[in-house]
Amino acid sequence: MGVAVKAALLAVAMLMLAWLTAWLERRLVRGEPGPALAVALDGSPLLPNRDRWLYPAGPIVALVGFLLGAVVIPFGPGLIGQDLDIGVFYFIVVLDFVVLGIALSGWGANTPDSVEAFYRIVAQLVAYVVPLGMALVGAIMMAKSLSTTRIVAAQSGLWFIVLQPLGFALYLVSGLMQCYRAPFLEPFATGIGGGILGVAGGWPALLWRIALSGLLFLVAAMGAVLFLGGWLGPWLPGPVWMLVKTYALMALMLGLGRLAQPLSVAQMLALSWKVLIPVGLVNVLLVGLLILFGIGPA
Amino acid sequence: MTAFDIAQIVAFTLCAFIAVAGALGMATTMSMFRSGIFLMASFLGVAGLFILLAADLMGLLQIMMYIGGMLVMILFMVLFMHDPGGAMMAAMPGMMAPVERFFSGGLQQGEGRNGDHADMHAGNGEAKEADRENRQNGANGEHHAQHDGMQHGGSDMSMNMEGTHMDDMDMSMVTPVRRIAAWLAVAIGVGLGALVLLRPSWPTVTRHPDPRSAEAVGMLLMGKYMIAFEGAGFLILLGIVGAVLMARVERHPDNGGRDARVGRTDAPPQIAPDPVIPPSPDERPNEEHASEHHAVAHPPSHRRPA
Amino acid sequence: MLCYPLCFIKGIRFGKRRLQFNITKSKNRLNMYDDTLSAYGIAGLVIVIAAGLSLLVAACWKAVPMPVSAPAAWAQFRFGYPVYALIFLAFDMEMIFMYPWAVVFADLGVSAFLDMLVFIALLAAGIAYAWRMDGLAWE
Repeated sequence: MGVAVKAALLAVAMLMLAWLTAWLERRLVRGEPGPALAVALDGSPLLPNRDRWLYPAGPIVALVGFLLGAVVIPFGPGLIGQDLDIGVFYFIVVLDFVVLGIALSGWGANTPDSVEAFYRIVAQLVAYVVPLGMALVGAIMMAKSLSTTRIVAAQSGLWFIVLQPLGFALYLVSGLMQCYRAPFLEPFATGIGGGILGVAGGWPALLWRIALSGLLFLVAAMGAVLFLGGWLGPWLPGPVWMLVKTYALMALMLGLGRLAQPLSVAQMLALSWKVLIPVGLVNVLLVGLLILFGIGPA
Repeated sequence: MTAFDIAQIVAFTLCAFIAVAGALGMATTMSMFRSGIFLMASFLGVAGLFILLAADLMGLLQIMMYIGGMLVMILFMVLFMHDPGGAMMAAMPGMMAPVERFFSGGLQQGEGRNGDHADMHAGNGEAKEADRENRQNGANGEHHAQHDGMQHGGSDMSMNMEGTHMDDMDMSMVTPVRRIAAWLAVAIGVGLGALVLLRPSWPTVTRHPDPRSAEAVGMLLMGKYMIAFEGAGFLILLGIVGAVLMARVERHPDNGGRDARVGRTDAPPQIAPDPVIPPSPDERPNEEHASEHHAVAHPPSHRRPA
Repeated sequence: MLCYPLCFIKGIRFGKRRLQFNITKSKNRLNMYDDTLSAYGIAGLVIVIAAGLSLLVAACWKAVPMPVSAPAAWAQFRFGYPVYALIFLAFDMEMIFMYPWAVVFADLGVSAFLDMLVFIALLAAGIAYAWRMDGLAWE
């Protein structure tokens, strides 16, 4: 069965890439670690009041979300899990499962810190979804398709980062919001003991580490596909270019993120709704004008 | 029937089961949070059914809307409900039907069994008896015995617990028409199922659905359904305006609100005695009566109508 | 809808024909409908693999459980962003319309741009109203 083999290979590859991402992040990031690095694998706290169905389901749902999102990332000319016609939309939807997993574990743990993390994670969902969508809509408009392979093919002349710098900047910010890295760390802040990661141990901690590192990788990879031309490049083979671009974008995102001060949830929501969404709407109109004037892929 | 068809049937069965089980869980569980999650799961099953019909954009739209929407809905339930986690109701297993007990499983607080917490309420002897009766009488008598058990349990608990706990009680547990409501729901469900299953012929389509969902929907939105498109935008604007209006703090509240905000500290004006009739010696006892009435008036406001 | 009772009666008289398998579809495996379905088959398989891996890890992980004492936290809570949450729901519906529009925009030209301009103007009016009315604030 070709489909089963492909799915298994994809799962193995993504797990290795998530491990590589976690290792790279630990090398790159000094000082306050990102959420994936703050998980202690040893010890397994037994919460007395947890919701026995929802609390274990959280990390499983997050891992499912991460692996599902990896299906539409193109690593090379034919190397993609499945070239869905609505690939980018599928990607956004499926990464919401990671948020759902964090919400389930946050509420299910039934400790004040975890439930506070639940409220912060839903606040972050409220903040990032719409600006992220606006940033993506620009690339979709130029490529005339939601399929990731067609978006990469539409950049064979000129990368979209040149044509849509505003959209790229918007994607950087809302991508950081989606990954819970600096400066949008509130759900995993040390002030609430690390949120859900503070009470995770044992196998949930391992799954959280995989899911959160993998989330950073996926967001960077989708950014490379949408704005940096995916696997297109002169001398090296496709997959190598893809990984180079993904990790370069990840380094850029982490670096820029650490330049900014950590934002509280109120500041993040205000930033999202007062700055990012108007910028996003302006970006959509700008890209529309560009297309009407004939600039962009034919 | 090829393997592909078998896979389709398996997927259909699974999605349909998730949709129905999610709805059942949503209606019967004691935890508000789980209720929202079960509704989300039910709509995920429906989204799977959409994908089986090759309407993948619709299916994914369902998933996206309902994950975000249900999380926000759970937030608002936590804002308004007293027991959003279901911990209080889960500690009273005698008051729940077996379906409810199943979907509320895993909510008990502390590491003990469910019965530990329940024993702390003195009125639980009745509830445990009702529980045993439930197991003995079987499905038909179950509702009836539980009805009796609930009456006893409810009244005992109202005597043993503080007044505020009655606000937390799920009113659907103690209403007397619960049995009638359950049978009515089952009858309507059977009726609707029969209407669907007993159709003489199902229309079949030989045309395959268009797999390019996004282009098809986009063309329709820009062409045939342009008014619906702009109308939806207008409705969204109305929703935003309504939300902001409802949520903001009133600038000119009514008198009671204004007093509460201002926090009147000055004493109310003294009642001037009638200059013609001299103040009688009964006036002081009158004042005490007034304060007693005032004090007695408070507790009934805490008690909900039984 | 009016013929519903009639169909019901006819059904009883002529016996019940409930489900009809369309066998011809399975003979023709190369059509686009089957491609769409098998496209999501890999998604289903990935879900199964992920869940299976997680349960395997959960079952095989041997760790000493440490009892933790923490107060229960499931209570009525007044979170600080209700207006943001409601506006998010409205904008979620708006993003639904924006994705299909973005796909067909380049083929339709100025008229589609003007339609979206009106749509975006309505939404911008919503945000401006919320901003001016102090709705975009943490409570």
